[in-house]
Amino acid sequence: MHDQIKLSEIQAPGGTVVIRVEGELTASTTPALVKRCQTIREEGKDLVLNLAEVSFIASNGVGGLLAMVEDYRDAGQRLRLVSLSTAADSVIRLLNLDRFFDIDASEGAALRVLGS
Amino acid sequence: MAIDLLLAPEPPVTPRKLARTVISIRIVVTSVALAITTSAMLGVGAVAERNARRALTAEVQARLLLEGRNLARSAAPVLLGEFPELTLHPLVKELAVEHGEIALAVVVDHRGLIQGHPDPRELGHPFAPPPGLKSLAPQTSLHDEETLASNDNVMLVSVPIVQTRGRELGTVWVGVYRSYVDGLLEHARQQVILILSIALALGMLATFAIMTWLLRPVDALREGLERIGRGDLETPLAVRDHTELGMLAAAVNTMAGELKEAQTAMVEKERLAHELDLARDIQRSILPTQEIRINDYLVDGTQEPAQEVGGDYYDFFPLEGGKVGVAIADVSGKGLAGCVVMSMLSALLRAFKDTHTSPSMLLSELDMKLTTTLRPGTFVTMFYGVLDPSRSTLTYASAAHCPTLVYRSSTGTIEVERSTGIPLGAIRGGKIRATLQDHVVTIAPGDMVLQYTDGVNETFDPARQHQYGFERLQALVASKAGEGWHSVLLGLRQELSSFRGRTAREDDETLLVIARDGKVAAGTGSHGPAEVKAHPAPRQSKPLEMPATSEGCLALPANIEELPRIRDWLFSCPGIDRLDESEFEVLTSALYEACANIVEHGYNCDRSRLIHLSKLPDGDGPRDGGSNHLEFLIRDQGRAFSADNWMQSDFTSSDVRRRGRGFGLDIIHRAMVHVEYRPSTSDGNLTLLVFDPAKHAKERKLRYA
Repeated sequence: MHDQIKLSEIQAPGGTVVIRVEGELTASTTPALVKRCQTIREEGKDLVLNLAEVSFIASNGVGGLLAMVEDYRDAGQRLRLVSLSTAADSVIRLLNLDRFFDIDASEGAALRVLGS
Repeated sequence: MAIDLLLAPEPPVTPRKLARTVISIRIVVTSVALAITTSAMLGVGAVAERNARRALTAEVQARLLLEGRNLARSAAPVLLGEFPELTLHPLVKELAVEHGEIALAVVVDHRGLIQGHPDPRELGHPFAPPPGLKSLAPQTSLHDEETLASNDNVMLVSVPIVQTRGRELGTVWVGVYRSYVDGLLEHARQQVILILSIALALGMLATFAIMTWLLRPVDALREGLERIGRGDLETPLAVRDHTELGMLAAAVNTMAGELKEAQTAMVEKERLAHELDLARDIQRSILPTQEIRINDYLVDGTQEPAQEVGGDYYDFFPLEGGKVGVAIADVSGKGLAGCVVMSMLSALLRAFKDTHTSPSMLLSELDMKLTTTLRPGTFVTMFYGVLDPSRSTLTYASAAHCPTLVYRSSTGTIEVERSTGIPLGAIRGGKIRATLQDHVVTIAPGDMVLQYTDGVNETFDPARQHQYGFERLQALVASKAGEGWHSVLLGLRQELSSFRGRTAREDDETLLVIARDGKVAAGTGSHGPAEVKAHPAPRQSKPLEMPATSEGCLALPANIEELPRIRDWLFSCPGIDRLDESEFEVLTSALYEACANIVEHGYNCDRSRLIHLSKLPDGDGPRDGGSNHLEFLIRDQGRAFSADNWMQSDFTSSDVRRRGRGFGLDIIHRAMVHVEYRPSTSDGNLTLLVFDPAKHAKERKLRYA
């Protein structure tokens, strides 16, 4: 199958969760990521999404990320994107959506911002 | 590296249950009670001992005085006689022998010589009192000349021996061992300690037992709460207690019951939602996926489902003799029930479509079959027609369905055909037959028959003041019909959408069209196709058509999971090497989204259908583009869909961002300099996408500037 996604999760000090996303974020793979992110939000933790290994992102993937950011904001929690791959970066900038995401160059930078 | 160093020492996940130090209430209460009682008892013991010591001392002194006085009284007459020592010695000895505690018993005459002593050798010797005597404070009253004194070993009294006439004859000395007095005091103290200790022990035991008894429900409460935590809401807490703990247990049981009800309700809600999703899928799968074309006739339908599963249905199918059966129906009631009736109707129609040539007879047959199964109050309005291309006629019957609109191209007018029938399933016993009749409509070139469900004409404006209504519907058909059936469907969709505004669709909007081509090419109006346009399209330099050669063409099954193949294919396309990485990603995304739209809306995710994607040769595209333009053509045979009511997503609205989907067209339009959609051509639906890398380079420059 072409359509696959792998999520590796790391517990950073201070309770923040880092998820490294690997593969394609499409209509069929995004729900898995969204579900995981919702669970982490319900646990009251901040989240850092590392998109360095995202080889492709479809509109549903971008939409999923946007909706999640809103969910986190509503819940008073923080979600940051880091290390955007060219695929992810190109589409997010194409839609001029970078103003709605908190984007950092590295996991370390994001964790510093989150105070972990 | 910094990240790794930062993350590496992350400890394993903290166990959820922390080991806790438990302090037992019973032990705390018992210990506190023990401390308080002990200090109270020590105080009481000290007071009791002091009192006992005083009482014992007084008693011993009184006894000594009594013995002394008795001896003095007995000795008085004897001292006046001859040889008093002979009488006094046995008397004193008897006293000493009978009372072992007596340390000293001496009778001394007025000269100071011993006249009575237990030891006969002392008789006649002068008496010397024991050394180191100190006077004692008497605990009992002393007579004249009586003394009370003690040293370390003895406590003694001296009593004068007095003749009746007041003459003093001598002195009696009686002493008792101090050890005897101390022994008595010690004995008394031990008794007090013993009694207090027993009382203390009994008190502690009683406290501990009472606390244990009172706290008995706590273990049951804890176990019950842990059980609830594990999800067992069935087993109630078996605590029968009349203290506050019993009330707590009852509250926990009530809470578990309410939790269970809430949980059941939630599960039921999810189950219903799941069933409704299934129903929606079933409903969608029943509807035709492709229009029917016979010669210059076309039959097609569309449905925009409401948020809730509705009971709208349409179908068309070939019949014997080159005819086509067309049906549209609306089941009263929505939700699962409506969906089930709709499925039943579809199965019945398919089963009986060849048994009756007359539409009214077929509807009567359906009525007969349905009335036995429909619940009272449920009915179906239905239109069924048979298109006969060879005779250019549509024969139809309508069971109380919406008025049929017939567009006459020769006059540009609309004829409205109203139904006289009653709905299917409304009245039992075949009463419907008398109300139904077959109508025959002749269809001339350019004519069009439009059927629909009440979701169309009963669409409300946002204020819910006005319905869309027949007049608007007729006016729209009249204005768009000249441009072809596709324009009518698209125009109607757009107008309903803008009429409804931002409010949700309350009912399914279902349209069915039977059209005959006029002077224009198949499927297109005389004014050209609707275009998916955001930018003004430059005039075409040549008609849009599939490239002559299929070399390098990618055939994709209509399956979302297959679409990532576009990327690999794109790599192999000539001219792609001049794009940088970012431009390549943008182009891939746009092509992916265009194909995803077709999979979802054109083919309804039917994996057996194919999408053909090809790159037009450089400089050979249909547009006059710059030499750097890359042009792609997508061809599909699916249902033509409405794409021209696309509006750019307003991402500044948090509602739009929360929606999280429906941004595919945004990607396509922002990525491409030109987007053109031509539905229903002889090659199928064609989508032309033109990509200009220069546009992205410029935007990037602006952005970074």
